[in-house]
Amino acid sequence: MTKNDIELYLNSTNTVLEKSVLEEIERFRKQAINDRNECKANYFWCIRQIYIIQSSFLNMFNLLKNKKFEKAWNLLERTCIEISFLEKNFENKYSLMNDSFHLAFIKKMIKEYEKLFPYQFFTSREGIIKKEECSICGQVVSIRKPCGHKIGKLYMGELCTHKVIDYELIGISIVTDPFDKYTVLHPEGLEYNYQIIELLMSYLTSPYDKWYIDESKVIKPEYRNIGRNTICPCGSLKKYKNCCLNSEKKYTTHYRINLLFTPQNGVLDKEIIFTSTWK
Amino acid sequence: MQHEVENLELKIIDSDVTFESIYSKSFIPREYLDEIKQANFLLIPNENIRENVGPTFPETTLEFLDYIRENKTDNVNLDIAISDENFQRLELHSAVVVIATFIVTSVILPIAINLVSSYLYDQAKKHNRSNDDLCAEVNIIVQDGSTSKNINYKGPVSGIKETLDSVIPNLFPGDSENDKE
Repeated sequence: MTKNDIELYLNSTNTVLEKSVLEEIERFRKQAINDRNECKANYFWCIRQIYIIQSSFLNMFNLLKNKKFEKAWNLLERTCIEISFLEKNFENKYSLMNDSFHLAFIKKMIKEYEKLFPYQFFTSREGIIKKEECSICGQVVSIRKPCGHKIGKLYMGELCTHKVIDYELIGISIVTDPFDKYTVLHPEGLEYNYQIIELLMSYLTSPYDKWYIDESKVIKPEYRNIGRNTICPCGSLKKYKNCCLNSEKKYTTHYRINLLFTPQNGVLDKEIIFTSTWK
Repeated sequence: MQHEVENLELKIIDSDVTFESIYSKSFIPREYLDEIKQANFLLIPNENIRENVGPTFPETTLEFLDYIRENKTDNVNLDIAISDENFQRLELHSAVVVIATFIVTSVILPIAINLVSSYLYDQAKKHNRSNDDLCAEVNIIVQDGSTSKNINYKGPVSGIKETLDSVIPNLFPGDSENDKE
């Protein structure tokens, strides 16, 4: 394969990626490193990263199709992280806005898929990073005499990261908006309800099918048609008028999925009005 | 420890922290004191995280420091009030981006606000979030003559520049009176 063949391949809407293409990309990157051609080595690092992002997105889609929801969620988050590694090093050459290599599409769809998962609570670790070293030169990271390698940037076809070599865990918190989204909590005896995402997946046949979500606020069912003087459904034992009547608590987010293609199994004839986090 | 921020919160209080009071702190490396005294934009550690933990900086500090070094104007003298050996980062792994507390002179404050805002906009992009959808906590001590104020902002990245800029004119009322004269 030539460089152009690889670019054409990654610009196609493949539903499975061939491993031989990754091997070709890696061959080009290693050759560039041997030739001390940093520009070319960095370029093929980016191309390899695009392969990884596409592959991760395609695998995520297949996991959803096979109802492996939590594994799909983890891969969704991994894809997002891989994109963030690429963006800093690639956007100047190929804008993600023009959807080169489907990157803009994948980035947008990650956000849309995320909205359909029922997860609400996560864990977040607290710890002290005491010592770390640079992945490029191996030097212990110094704030006063920095090695010059910037975390997240490319150097001769390699991404600069920091390896933590001295760490102390001091706690774990429960949060609703975590940095690590794969830290989903599983309360004993409860099972997550994936009704909405299952419904969507029954209509999608390709990872590149186009769809989007409209969000709006609607009143929760328990707050509908109740009198001002009735006891508030939130459990406060106060009158509704003195509690949630004028608050945001009585609203929930309503998602409307819009398919931008004609589904093979026809259009949905009923709407799921409300669904809960748990089965 | 705070992990999440729901609404915009701005607190401005008098502070007894000044550049001079920091110079005498035990975490200041004596061998770098002369350099640190040149700074008008000085990152300072949090001393009160937990017993036996020592002074810590937020997890974004290395990146933040790099960003300020690369984007600052010539009149900003940047430094960090710690030695390499004692530098450690507190990792909360929360979606709230916490910026290291820093002290600046009042003259530098508008530039500092620009730098912090731009850094946070970059962070939002990096996290694949909109500026409305990413929360940040910023703690700035501003020294004007011998008095200091502490500005604490917790809220969405989108509101940070406008909110902090609005603070500048009335932060040291005496000064603006003098300016008019």
